[in-house]
Amino acid sequence: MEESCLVGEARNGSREAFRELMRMHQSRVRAYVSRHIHDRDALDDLAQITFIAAYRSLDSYKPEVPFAIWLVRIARNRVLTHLRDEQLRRRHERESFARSFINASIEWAETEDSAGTSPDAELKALRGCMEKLPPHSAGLLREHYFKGRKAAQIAESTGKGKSGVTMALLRIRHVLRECIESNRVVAEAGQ
Amino acid sequence: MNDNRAHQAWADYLAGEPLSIEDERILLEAFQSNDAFRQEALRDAATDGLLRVEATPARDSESLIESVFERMVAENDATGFIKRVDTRIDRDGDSPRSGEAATPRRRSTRRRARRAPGQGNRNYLLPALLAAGLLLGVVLLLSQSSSGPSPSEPGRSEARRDALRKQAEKESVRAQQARKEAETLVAGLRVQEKQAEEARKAAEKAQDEDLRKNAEEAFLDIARKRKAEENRLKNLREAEEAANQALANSSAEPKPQEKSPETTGTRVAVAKVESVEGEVYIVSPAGKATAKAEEDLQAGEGLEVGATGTVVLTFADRTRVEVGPNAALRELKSEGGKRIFIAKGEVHAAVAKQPKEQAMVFVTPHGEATVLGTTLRLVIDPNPKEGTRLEVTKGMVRLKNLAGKTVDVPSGHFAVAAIGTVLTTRPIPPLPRTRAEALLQSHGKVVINFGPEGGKLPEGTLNDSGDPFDTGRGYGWDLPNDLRDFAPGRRMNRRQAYDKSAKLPDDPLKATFVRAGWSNVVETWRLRIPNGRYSVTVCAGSAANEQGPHHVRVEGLQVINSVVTPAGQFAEVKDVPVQVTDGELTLLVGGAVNSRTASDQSSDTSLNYVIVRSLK
Repeated sequence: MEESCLVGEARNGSREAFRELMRMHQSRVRAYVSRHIHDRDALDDLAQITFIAAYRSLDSYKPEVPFAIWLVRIARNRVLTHLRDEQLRRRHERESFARSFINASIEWAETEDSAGTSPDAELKALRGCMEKLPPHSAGLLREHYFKGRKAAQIAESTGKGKSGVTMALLRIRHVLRECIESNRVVAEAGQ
Repeated sequence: MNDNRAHQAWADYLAGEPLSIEDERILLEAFQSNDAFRQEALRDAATDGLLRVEATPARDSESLIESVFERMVAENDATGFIKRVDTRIDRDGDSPRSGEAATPRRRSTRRRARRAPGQGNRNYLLPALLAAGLLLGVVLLLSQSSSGPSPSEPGRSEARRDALRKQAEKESVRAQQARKEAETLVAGLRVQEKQAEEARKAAEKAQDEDLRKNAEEAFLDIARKRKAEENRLKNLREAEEAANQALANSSAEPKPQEKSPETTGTRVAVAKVESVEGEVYIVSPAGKATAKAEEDLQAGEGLEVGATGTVVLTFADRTRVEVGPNAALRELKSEGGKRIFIAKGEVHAAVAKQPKEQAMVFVTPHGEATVLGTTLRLVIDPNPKEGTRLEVTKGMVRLKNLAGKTVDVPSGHFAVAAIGTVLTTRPIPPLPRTRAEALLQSHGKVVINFGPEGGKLPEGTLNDSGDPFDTGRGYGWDLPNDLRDFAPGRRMNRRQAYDKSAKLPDDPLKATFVRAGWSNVVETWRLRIPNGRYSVTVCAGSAANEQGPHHVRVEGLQVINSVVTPAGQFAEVKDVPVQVTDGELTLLVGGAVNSRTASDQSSDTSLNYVIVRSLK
């Protein structure tokens, strides 16, 4: 069913229609939230809150705005609220990197144009870029991200130092980021 | 700034690895001062987030969708509960609405999602909402039950009390039931988690990649569910406690002329809990209760702070006390001057100006600090030999030890009240820039072993394998460790590390060495430390072979002078006093041109270790 029909049905109270909309957009919303939020529980929670807010605001949704962008804007507001709550919670802490990182994340989330970000496209590009990785790098990513193994565990099984593992992951992410960015540039040039 | 070290620290941080104090400092400095570094880190974190989303299994995505609706239902449930209590209170309340009969509102039929607790619930906030709804209802009951009856309508009040008591009983039973069910569920999940872990370990030995992956995923899934249920259980326990309290309040006979302390505010609070993180408890004669922000602390109450907890207290005069982890405060008092007993832990205080006769006193097991108005830090170690350390950032604080001796500690200085320590003030040392400086500050000495990397060394021992000086590390050699002609047809690194631990397994510091300063070359080794007086111990030799002539100068003083050591013997010079004036301890190794014992009259030093101790 077309998205516009699903939105219409969801507005009329169809939960099934809204479920379908969530299936279509949940990776986009999670991808956007994950740019700024790195705690897994908080990420899941914010994704849920975004969809709940969207469900309750369906009456105010204007079809001129693409549904995906509307959702990402809601996600952005929720992310900012969460980060500002964290900032407030830490206001009495002595200066720490975590606190500084939250402040910088807020600034970044406030200034980036959420309509211009395409987390879904980034995810797709990421998949393509991961396929181009050499086997060793792909294996390291799989161990850390897909199997959830910590650097120390990977180091133990590979004979590398823990610092070597974390730096290797940093370098792989850098390669992936450059690949995603070059895919984005090519895609834009082709439009 | 050490860029490599900052990048390493960032890589470790994002991988979830703990950072040392020094690494966090370097990372923070890089993040704050280097715009390119900060932007790169933020983009890297975004990529990391994308990878985590990509790694989310498909079934997690489906359960996110289901959780959205469950959560909305739960939020409606919580709101509905409050509305029902509200309706009941309105119906049974004292004053009918003007112009209306006090008829009960029709309860709307509402379909509730009846679920066994914890099933299909992956969201850690969802159970909190349920518990919050329960708690809010209980709070409403408490507030109603604590207000006195209207003297003019005793019969009506009696009926209302009875209704409230029955409602409180129902809520108490419901809370207890929910808690018991959650406990059973958690117990079951723990068993499942253990089984899943065993299956994962068994699968790791198997050759089948898919089997390993599935076992890993199953284990992680169960572990997440167990954590979520434990959080839910914690909330349900608090809700049950509140429900029981409400029941107790509603069962007590009301005393017509008595008003509760909360409604009159006649109890005088000593301080307020401004913010709480982690495990923090208020301790009173009645017992222990979880501390909450905005809660008042009464006279005689105390605080216990867990391993990951912190709490900030504020007083009416804006005095502020931050209490760190693993701390215990007792018997707060304010009459005649604020007084806090700190049994252990660390506090930072910004004390507003106190009246002269009512100074604020921090009492510890080792002494007491009297404060008229200042910013200070107190570290209390239960070990009486470590004692209480007071640092004054601003103002002046008088510290008294158990012997009754006192010292006035001015701004920028510290003093220690401890058994066996002279009570005197000293300037607060600057923050350590390197691990060596941190060890010197915390332990009073730093031990540096010379040998190949990766050896087993005593805890807190640093290692030097001949690498050039590194500002992040804070020690090392002056020249690059390049290859040179040692003898015709033989090349060797300027500083070559050796491991002879097979010969001397029980003394790791003597089991290895770095060979340097051979063939008439003077090698310079530097250790960055604050200026001051130190005692230095140096050792040279080899467990396996005759070595030497060893030739070492420390801060210009010749401590080992062309000494040859037989195999298994060492030239060890202990506790040489030196004065460091340029921020570095310098060792000159080699350069004995006219060595008596070497055929080419040059020295060849095998350096085992250096120990540097602060002299107070």
